[in-house]
Amino acid sequence: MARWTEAHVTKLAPDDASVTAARRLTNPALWSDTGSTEILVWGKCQGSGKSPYQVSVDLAGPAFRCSCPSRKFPCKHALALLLLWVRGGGAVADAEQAAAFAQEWADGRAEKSGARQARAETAAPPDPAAQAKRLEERLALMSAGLDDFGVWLRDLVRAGTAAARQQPYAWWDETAARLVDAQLPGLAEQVRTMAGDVHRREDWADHLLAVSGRWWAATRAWTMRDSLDADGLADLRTYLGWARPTADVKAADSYAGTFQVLGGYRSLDGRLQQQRTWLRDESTGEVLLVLDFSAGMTPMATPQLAGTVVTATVSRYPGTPPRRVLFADEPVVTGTVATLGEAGSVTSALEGRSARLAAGPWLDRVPVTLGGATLVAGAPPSVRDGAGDRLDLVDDGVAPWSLLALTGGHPADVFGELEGGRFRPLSVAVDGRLVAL
Amino acid sequence: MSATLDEWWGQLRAAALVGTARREVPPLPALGVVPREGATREEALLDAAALGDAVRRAGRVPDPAPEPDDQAPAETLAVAPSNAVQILELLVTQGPVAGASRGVLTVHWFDTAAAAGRVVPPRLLPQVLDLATTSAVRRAARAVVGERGRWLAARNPDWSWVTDEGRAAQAADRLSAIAALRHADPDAGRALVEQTWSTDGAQHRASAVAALVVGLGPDDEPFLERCLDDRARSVREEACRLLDRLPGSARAARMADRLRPLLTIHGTLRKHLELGLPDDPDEAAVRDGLVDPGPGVSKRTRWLHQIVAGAPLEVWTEVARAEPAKVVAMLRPDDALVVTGALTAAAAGRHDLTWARALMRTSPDTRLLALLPADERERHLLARVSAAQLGALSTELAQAPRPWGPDLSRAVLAAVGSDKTTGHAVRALRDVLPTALHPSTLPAVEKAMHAAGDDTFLRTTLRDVLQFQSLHRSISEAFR
Repeated sequence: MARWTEAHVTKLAPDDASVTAARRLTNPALWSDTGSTEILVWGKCQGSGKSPYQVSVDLAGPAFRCSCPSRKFPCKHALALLLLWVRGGGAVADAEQAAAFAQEWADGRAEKSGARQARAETAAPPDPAAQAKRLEERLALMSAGLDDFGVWLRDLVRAGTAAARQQPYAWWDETAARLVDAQLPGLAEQVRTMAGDVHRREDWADHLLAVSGRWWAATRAWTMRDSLDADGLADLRTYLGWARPTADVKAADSYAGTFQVLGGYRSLDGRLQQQRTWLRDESTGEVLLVLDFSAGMTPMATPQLAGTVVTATVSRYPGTPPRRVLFADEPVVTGTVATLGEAGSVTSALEGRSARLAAGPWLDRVPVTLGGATLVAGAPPSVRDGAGDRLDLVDDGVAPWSLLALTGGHPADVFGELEGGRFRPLSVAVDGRLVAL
Repeated sequence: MSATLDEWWGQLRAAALVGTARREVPPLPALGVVPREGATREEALLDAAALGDAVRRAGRVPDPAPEPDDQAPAETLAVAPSNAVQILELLVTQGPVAGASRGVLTVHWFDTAAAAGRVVPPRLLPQVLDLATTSAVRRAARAVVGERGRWLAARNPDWSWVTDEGRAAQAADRLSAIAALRHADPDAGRALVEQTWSTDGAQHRASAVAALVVGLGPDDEPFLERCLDDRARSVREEACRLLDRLPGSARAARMADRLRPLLTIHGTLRKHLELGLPDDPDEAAVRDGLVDPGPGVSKRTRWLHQIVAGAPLEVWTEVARAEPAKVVAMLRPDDALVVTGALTAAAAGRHDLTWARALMRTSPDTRLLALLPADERERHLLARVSAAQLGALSTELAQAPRPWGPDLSRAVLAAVGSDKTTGHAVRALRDVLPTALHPSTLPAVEKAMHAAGDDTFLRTTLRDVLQFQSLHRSISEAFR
């Protein structure tokens, strides 16, 4: 596995104080029995106590374990270990075999996830009547959960957003847990993220108010779901986190075609790893999104490289554009392209986003190709189009140095995602090639 | 977004902050939306938030961009060939070999690229600049980051070394210019030092004096003698260090006068040398470097050291009327402990091979080992390499010039492979072995790796040796 960058590690930290504390622990003299394999990093850190803390990190998750009593997660020891590892100065050397304590932990985790999978596989074959009953039960559960969430939102604005900001993490987490129980994991994830955002973001008051409005709109839309069209309902489902079985998607809407891979992104945040791949259908020009997930020990689908052309059968999920698809068969690389095709401006990108929001207010990520864009290094860094308009870059801790190095400040066509109004560059056409960032 | 909309959103935010229990919800602006009937205050605020969120997002207009930065100048050198780039990518992203070997290979890549007039491709610049954390790697990297690399580094404080150390390099350049000149023409090199002597700061003067070690000879004595009166202590110390290496100097003669009274011969049948301690130094002795060493150090032992290290070694053979090897044997064990270090320094600094051989018998030292001719040095190490001694030898092995000869390489390999208790030595030599083992022993390395069994550390170390050698060769070939 390619080593992460320091930014990847700091992004995992629960707060800035943990990063600072972790940096102080990156003295190799404090560490012993360190090592790393493809998926595990481990080491022992001498703390204030007599025996050193045993730290293990599973890179695939990522998942963490440390014998220290800290309730921060991941703790400073795990972060420090990863920092040492990414710096690659030999403090955490590659090893063939994991240390016993790390391997035992990893095995325990694999066993648990294996048991879960086994349970899922031995489930009984579908029975239509039982299925209908389960659907009924699920809808009732979701409705009750959204009613409950509506009450929580009313309480939130009655007491005020300033008071909500004073709430401990447990207050948000408890709400998120109730949403999970009500089979609304999409909302739950957003509530958990908000618990951090109210402290991390400078514009937290605007952000919490706007997102509360969106949550509220979702609870209202759910009560009127019978009047939504199929695509609108599909968007709402995605927002709430009601997953669609792959088999259903494949059965509904599949077709073979040739696709250009525009760019991709793999997020390393939290429990679930997400991989997004953007494709352009060569015959229709439609831009499509392949979304893959991996959790725990399951490996991520092999990424498709930006600049390749693949033929494959894809199956479309219902919903408004940009449509999500899945590869129904293994894509075959048939060629490469050096350019991004038709490119637009910041204005057209924002117009595209407005159209997307008008079709469905829930999902706020659109693919954008900016023509002749220049990266302006600043705080925050931004891209500037030929008309002199700008889009600030998504602040996910990864500085845009690759883009700056590749373009040298010269204008270039850049593909990326417009997410929450900010731009995340994913690939750039430069020196006669399409290069992934 | 219009001003009224902005204002309304601001009022809504203010109401939300304190809560609807204490604040009215501001009326909706004219957006063609009618408030829901029968809504409670909380519901009205949430409705308004949903509306505001949609309007603010969908109605966003572009912000003007700041003026773009200067563009990077065109690259004057060609980018490295693609197979070389592949190797570099492997080095910076995967770390195919551990620790120091990776640095050595990276530097090898940079140096080979620099010699071929090639540069790092822009795509890899951020990783390369991040990876260069040691001065050796940075020095080599600076030559191959190209125009694009310098342009990029100017925009990130973490990479300021690319241009900053350019300044430090000027000072270093002057020192290397002095060193280079000394190789060819020692007098001209010294003249270069004296040229800026009156304006240089103490630190520069001291490092300039230290640079005279290259091509040091009797002609430097007058200048060094003058340095003994320099106002900076660091300059005086450097001058003493160099004069220690000139046994024909006036200072050496003065040290000889201080040493002779301290040496006495005792015994008749089994003669031995006895060593006294010096008295408090007079003014001249202080000028020659015998200063108070400060707390925590025995003054007289320290002065004895300095006297022994500064006096000609002939004083010993004259007083004892014996060859160096005999002199060493005549020392009482206690005295030997005290003066061997100083004798070693004197022999090493003056390249005195006879004394080096004499001292090596009782106290092997890497500085002395370095004086021996290559084949003698290897024989010396070879005689001592065995599984049991590998740990004790690891420092000397690490400092021996690389690559080692075939015989020594084979002996170390055999010692490493024969005994499972050599783990400590393998760890100590891990970073040394890849560059030290002679290329002709690679088949033996491979055999030893397969025989390593469950000794993972040994196996990884030997795999690194093979990997290193193969990558090293590939890098050279990639630029051909």
